[in-house]
Amino acid sequence: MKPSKVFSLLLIGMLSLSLVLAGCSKSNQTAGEKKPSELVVAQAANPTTMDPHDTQDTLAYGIQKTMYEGLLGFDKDMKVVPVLAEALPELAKDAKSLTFKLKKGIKFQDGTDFNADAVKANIDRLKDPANKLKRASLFAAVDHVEIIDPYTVKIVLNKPFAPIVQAFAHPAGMMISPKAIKEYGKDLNRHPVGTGPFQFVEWKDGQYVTVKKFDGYWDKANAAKVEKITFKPVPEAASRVAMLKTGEAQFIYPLPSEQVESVKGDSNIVVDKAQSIIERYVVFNVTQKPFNDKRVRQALNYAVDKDALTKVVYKGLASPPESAIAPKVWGFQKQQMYAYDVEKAKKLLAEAGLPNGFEVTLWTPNDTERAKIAEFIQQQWQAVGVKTTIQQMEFVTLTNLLSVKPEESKLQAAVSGWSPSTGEADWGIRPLLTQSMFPTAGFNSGFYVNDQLEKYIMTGLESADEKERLNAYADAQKVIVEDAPWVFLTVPDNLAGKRKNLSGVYVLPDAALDVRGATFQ
Amino acid sequence: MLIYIARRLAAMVPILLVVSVVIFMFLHMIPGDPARIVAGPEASAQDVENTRAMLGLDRPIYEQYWRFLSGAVQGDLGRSFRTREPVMDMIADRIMPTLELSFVSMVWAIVAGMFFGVVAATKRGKWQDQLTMFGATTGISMPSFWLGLMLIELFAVQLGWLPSGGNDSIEHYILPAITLGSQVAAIIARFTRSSLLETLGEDYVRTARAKGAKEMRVIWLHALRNALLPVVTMTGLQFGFLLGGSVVVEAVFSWPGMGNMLITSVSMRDYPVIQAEMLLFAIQFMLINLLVDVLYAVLNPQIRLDS
Repeated sequence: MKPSKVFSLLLIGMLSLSLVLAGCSKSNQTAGEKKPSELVVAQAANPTTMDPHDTQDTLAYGIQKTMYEGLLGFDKDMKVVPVLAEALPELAKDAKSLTFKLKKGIKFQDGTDFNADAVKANIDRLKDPANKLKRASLFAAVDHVEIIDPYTVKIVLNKPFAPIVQAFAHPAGMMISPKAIKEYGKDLNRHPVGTGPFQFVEWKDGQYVTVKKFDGYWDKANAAKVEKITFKPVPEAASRVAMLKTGEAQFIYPLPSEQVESVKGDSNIVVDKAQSIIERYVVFNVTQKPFNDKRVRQALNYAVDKDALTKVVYKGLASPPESAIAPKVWGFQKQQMYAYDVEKAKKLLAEAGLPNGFEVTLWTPNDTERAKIAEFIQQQWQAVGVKTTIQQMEFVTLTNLLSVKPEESKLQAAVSGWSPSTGEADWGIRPLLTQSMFPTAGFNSGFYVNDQLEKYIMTGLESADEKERLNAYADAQKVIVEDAPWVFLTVPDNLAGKRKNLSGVYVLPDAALDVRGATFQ
Repeated sequence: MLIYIARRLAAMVPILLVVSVVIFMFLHMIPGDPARIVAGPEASAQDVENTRAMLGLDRPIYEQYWRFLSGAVQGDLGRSFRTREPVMDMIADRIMPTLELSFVSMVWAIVAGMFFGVVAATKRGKWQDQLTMFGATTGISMPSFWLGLMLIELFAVQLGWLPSGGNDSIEHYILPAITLGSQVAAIIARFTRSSLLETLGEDYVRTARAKGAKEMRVIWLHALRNALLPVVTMTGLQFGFLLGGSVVVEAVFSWPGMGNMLITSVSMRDYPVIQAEMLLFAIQFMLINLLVDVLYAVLNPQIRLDS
């Protein structure tokens, strides 16, 4: 046989083989297609743990929320609602204790009763320093738990601390079966047992986490409607989108804004968007020239067109900021923000003695979104004579450079952002803009201090009167915006993609998924 | 031969020791504090310090190295910072998918690469040659990241024939293997072609032809056997790179292998996992080199290993 014949034979062979393979796979795929009783969710990363008291990533919380519930929780708009508690707790007048009445007749997935003892076991576990749990600090204000009766607990605080209510709504406050705590100890992160509508099946790191419907769920009205949910890590955004298009996944998060166009033409896919509680900003090192001058900081605020930023960087899937915290954060109050005004910016710079502008190095993490923000700002500041050098770096490297003491800081300006996971103003402001929160204690990486603001924050912390607190936070926001320690940039939308026949799933403003209500038409 | 292999294996020990020190030093030089990352974005200074102590990062670096080394020789590679799982278990979970994918990719790359290389050489200058070499050049210059996404778009999204990610069934291997193997196939094709062209001009080939041996026999038996020597070396090296290349391909196809784990581990500064993986990559490279040398001797008995 001549080589040319071999060649053509092989070519034909390969072609037919690929056709056969293709044929097989098509029929297989139809047969194996996920029945509408199973949901596949594709997410950007591996979860780190299934132990809610030891979790720092919202992605893991999205999975845990199918299995666990807290005394309180957040609704779609980040409002605190009772879950395992009968009602919202009563905060004592001195803001030093709060009392929960618990719902009766609830069982954990392993059959253990949910009651006051279970609550105490959970708080004790969180509080025990030997456990070194990552969310212990959220409950640092808790001194001890008193059991009043089998379904009433009193949480006694060691200082007045009004935001404690939100801490209990935070997923870190979710209740673990006391039996599981005893039984699994350190390995609890692999053996989650809660009271939620789904129970744990399997976790293969890097592949999937699966949960199935829990038949003994107490809240019949909100019982699971799908039999099984599989969470898969798919780090590459384009691959996530492909999985959604092929139907291998019915829900993907996040959907990067640059991918929205690619799914628009597909009638089987719906883009879910909702305002987040993330605020993006440029942080200045206010201890350094020229950023120690308020006029300069204000000028750089006036010099950025936030509407254009929303359109250019986010394709319209974001909103210009209305304060130092996002509108869905409890305690938010709309502020008079810096309108785009180049002339005013130039005037302020001239008043500050910088009529010809100055040079600045702007740090940014190297992800597409924030790199684009930096480039946009560079162009905008150019118009007022500020020459910007962008320095892109990996997120972790940047975090390292930002978490240093004032005397060691090399920061001039950096693209930054914050998502207050407790959903209220205190955690949106205090860690970022108060003196006690200089790195490494907190995230005030620009070393901003304002005595007035510190007072308002303390009032917000220590008062049990909601009105008084709201007023204090409103005043705080006014001071921050006026003082401009940041360039307030944007509040991005959370974007998720889902198949059209799927409903009951959404992304919470804090970017955690809630897929408990998933149902297929 | 056995003595030779044993000696080579023994020589790997000091090399590995040096490699482990280098890996360890480099890791600790990467900016980014693992304790802070593990403790999380909202952690307080106290949380971070607690985490540091828990991870043993508060100890002096030589002590950390010693702990790592003494554990490693006993088969204990520590626990992952991220998942708190024993690194050994994690690697055991992840190594097979990566090896399988590399192996499948390699097999098709060798078969296709050699076949097209031979065709191109025997049809030198003709359309088969030009077409094959055009394909090979395209294959080499195509970034696997882009190729992978294109294949997904075509075969998974548009045609719906193949799944886009995961490794649940045989079908899941097709697209990632094509992506991972295409560059190697292209390189092998080019190498086979030039090497075969060289041997085809040799005296013994002419002799074989003169003796009236069939052309197929001349090419496949006489010429190719000798032409294979450089190809084997190169293929061996490529296999090493394939394992490295799997990092990108695994990310695109959400393949639950070592490459994917490496990406996660680097972004989380998960030292124990990175150390173990790098060490494993080094061992693999050395073993492949050894294998290449042995194969070399098998193909050409004139080469003596013991010298």
